[in-house]
Amino acid sequence: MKIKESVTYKCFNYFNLLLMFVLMLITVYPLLYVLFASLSDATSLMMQDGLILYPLGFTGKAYGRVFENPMVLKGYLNTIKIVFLGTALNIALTILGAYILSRKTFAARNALMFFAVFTMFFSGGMIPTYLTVRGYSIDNTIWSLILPTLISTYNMIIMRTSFSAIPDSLEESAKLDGAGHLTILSRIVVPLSMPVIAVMVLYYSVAHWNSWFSAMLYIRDRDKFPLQLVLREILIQNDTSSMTQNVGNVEHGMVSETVKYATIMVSTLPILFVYPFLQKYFLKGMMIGAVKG
Amino acid sequence: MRNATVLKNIIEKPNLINKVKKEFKRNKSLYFLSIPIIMYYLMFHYKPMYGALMAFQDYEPIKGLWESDWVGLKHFISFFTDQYFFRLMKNTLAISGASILFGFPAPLILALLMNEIKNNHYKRTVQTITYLPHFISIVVICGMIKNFTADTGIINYIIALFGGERVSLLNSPENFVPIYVISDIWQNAGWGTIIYLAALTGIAPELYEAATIDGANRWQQTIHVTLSNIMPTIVIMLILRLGSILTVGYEKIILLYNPITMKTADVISTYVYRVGLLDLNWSFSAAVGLFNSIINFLFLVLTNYLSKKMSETSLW
Amino acid sequence: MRKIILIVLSMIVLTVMSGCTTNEVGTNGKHAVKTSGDAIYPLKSDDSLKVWMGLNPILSTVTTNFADTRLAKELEEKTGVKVQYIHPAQGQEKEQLNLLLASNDLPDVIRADWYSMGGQKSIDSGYIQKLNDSFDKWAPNLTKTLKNNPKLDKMIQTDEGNYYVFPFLREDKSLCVYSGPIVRKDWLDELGLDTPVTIDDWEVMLREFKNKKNADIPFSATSSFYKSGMFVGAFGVNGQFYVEDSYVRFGPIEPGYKEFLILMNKWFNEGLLDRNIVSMDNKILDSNVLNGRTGATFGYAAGSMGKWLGAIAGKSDKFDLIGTCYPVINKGEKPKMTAMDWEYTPNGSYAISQKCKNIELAVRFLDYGYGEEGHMLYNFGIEGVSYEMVDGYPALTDVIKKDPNGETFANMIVQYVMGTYSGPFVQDKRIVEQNQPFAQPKDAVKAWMVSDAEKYNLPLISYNSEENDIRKKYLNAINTYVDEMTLNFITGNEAIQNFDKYVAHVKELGIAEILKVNEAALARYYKR
Repeated sequence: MKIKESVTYKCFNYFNLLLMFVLMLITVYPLLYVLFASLSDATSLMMQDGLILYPLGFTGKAYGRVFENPMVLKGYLNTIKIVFLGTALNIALTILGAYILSRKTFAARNALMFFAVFTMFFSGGMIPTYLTVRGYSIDNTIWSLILPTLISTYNMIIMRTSFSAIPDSLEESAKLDGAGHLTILSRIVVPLSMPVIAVMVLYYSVAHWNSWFSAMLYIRDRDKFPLQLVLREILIQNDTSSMTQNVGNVEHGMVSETVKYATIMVSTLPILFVYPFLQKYFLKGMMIGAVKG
Repeated sequence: MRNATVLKNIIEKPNLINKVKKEFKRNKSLYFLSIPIIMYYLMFHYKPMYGALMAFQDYEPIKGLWESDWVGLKHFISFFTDQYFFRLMKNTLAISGASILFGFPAPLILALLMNEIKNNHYKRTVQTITYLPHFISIVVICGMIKNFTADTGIINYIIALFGGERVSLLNSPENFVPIYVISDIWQNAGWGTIIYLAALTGIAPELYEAATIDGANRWQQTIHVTLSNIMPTIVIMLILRLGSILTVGYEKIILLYNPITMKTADVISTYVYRVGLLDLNWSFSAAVGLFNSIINFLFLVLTNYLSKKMSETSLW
Repeated sequence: MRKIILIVLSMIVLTVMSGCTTNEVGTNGKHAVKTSGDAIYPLKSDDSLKVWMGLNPILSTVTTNFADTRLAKELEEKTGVKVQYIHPAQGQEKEQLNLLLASNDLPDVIRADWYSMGGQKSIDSGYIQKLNDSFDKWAPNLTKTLKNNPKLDKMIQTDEGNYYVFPFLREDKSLCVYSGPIVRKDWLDELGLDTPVTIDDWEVMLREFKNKKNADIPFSATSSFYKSGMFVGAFGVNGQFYVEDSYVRFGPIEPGYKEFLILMNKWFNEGLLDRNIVSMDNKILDSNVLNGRTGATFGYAAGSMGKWLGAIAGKSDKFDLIGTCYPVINKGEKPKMTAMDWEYTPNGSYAISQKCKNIELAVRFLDYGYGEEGHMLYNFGIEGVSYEMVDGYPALTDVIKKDPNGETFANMIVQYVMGTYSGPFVQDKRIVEQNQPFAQPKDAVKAWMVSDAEKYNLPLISYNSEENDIRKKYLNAINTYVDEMTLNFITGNEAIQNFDKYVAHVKELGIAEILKVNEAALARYYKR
């Protein structure tokens, strides 16, 4: 019996490895396309009809266009600030919320859950939210970018599910030892939930990194602009479709497409390095010992 | 003696106030800890919620909410009696339904397959690469989709190899939903595996050992150990997903649709977008948005209820 | 002692008298605006203005605020008005404007497309000022310009006869035309074909392109190419609303439209019309034109011709484009329906908000552009610096054309002028001419100008709120249906025999209501 299993299993394994390889080829292509396009000559890119398998006429002009804007570096710094401060607060509050919601003896937990979930569906819309945030006098500050989205209910729910999976026995024995909620949270729940917390760190960081809409609403000082807003402006500056009026001006259109791709690379590359960092938290066997204890 | 007993009974009678007091005493710290959470929701979500009333007015930004004219259900009726209402609902549900049917299991299956990779380096590489398309802007992705499905594109090249006719796929209404869903999986499945991979690490290896001893093969182990252990995560994800059943974003569709495929591609959000182009109509989009939210919410409540009955997992 | 007092007194009197030779023009109390002598500018005032406007995209690569430009500084010097410029984030002007209005935080002057937002509505809602009195009192330049051109005058008023903006005006029809048919000139020469004039010429030409030049997509364009009159105009209608004999008509339900669809379907079946025209976008079109798969299209002077000529420059000398006249049925006919803007472009209009405290200052500042001096400044920049008068022609100097620091022409010109985009002045065609390096687009515009469209295109009419309700109710569904059916007829998915059924359905969708609304608005327009 065992040998037969092995054969089917072995076949499956080879097939799986092959499948994964094909998947990788398919999913790495978009990034390669963007990379090659960003290093291509504008005209050659315009004439290109099909797949791009290498840079067409190697040139760094597009990147030059992006970085000649002094706002780009500032944008990076601003965004990094927002990502760190924002994610830290996000995680802290989300963990707190998820913990509270996962305590089975907490009578108000269903009500609290409903209270939070309701806001996922119903919202006042752009203008009332804008007026409310302004009403707290936080506009044009970093707080207007962090506070309105302090907790993602979706993330909090997922974290709660994970927290709920931790055996009650652990909480009970800790209570017997005289531990309060904060101790249970910090000594037991958090260490056992590192994988899910790592995922949330990823989710929140990426969300902050990609966001530009809030900044567009609330930030007026251009040197406080986060990276994505700066890059959006660069994209628009180089967009030929807005230059159809009149007979004049055409130069800019030349670099336009390639600048779009350079912009994507510039804005995406940094965040791609976050995941490998967090991968080490996805190690197997975080729960060993704890259960049996 | 008897008086003391009677008194004791009165004091210990389980009335509501006593219950609440007891609960508060027991979980005092939790109640305090939940204050910042509640404050956040009140300040940034509930306070502006009056804006939903815009749906019942002819809102003018300068008049503000309290001075704008109230028109009751005018915009809702206008939407329900629109020529294209049924088509929009049908298309929205079709795209959303197909996305859930195929797009929901995809990251899960992928995560399980990744889990089977023995070589850690290869595993990490696969994880890192498959999530990359998620970060590429939808505009670029749609450009690629158009490229691949063109009559000179790679998909038609393969079709021609098998003797088929080269035809631009985005010109036929029947192809729209498959193209939309498949490209969605291509772009987002890798990213979607992350949460499942995290959940998978929480399964103690001893459980697998025990299953092997019991004679289960890998497939059976997958069902009985792996899946059953991450089932709560899967169920919650599914409930939340179903709770956005009417939410189909307009950006990707606008980039891919054209007058001929509108038959299957035009959804609620794209239609409202075009109304907005005619002139800025806050109230109409607010009304449609509110309608969407109500349907989504009802769906969520229903799904949650069913889940509660059928499994132990639910939101409340 | 007496002598000293006398001297001192007389000195005081003299000083006071010299102060009084300035004319106090404004009567807003402490917001008085003084002018010096007969010349109105530079104004003297303690107040400054807050102007909200989008920063020109090209300009935003060189500076973060308009105030830093030479143009802004010169404006301040010449008009004497201090201005603080506030810019919304690029590409989000519409959203930001609405937030601005919602939060009631209005600056003094707001640049936006007030026409599309509803001029009268904006006044009634309390956003912007009615300007009739202000024009009479403080805007002599604009008033003169409008007196000389009553048609223009009508265009910028509301139906009620109110002025609400300082408009961007174009002095010449050539500035209003910028899109039309574009064909590969080098192919025409090679095949010995004349520039096509009639529909039959076009058919012959497209066949030649397909057979002799291996262009598998002889004609291609983005799927709404026909709306303003390309091909469809030859049959006497266009793809949208137009005016004929004082009636408003809807092109897509007129008999001429059926003829157009039959022709398009014929070309589609023959392979002369792009099989993938429904999903065509600009990127694919660029590639098809540059690769020689497409030989004829419909596009823009700068955004298409200029772009392609610029791209191919240096790569191939066997590529030339020509803009042809819009095709007609019989030789000698004048194209009836073409793409043509009006001399008033709502996009760069300046309105004065109801929160403005010193209205006279704002009005005088904005009026400057319509006078002689202002006209030259906004259009050409600073004499002796950015332009020089050469035989009476304001020629751009090397400061712009050959910047010693290597800055591009585009970046330099936008620091000195607004004439290449829009603003509170009349656009001079001489700046537009100099802004285009290639000759072909300029010639193309001449060809595209041959048209009667002025008689038929719908003027800038305005709707009241009941009419807007009706439009919202029916128009989106009608547009959706017409667009879908048109492409379905062209591709043959729908048999042309069903045309009458299609027209009946459009009528069911309420087109009559829309036509009525348009006619009512048109009647009011004529009465302005």
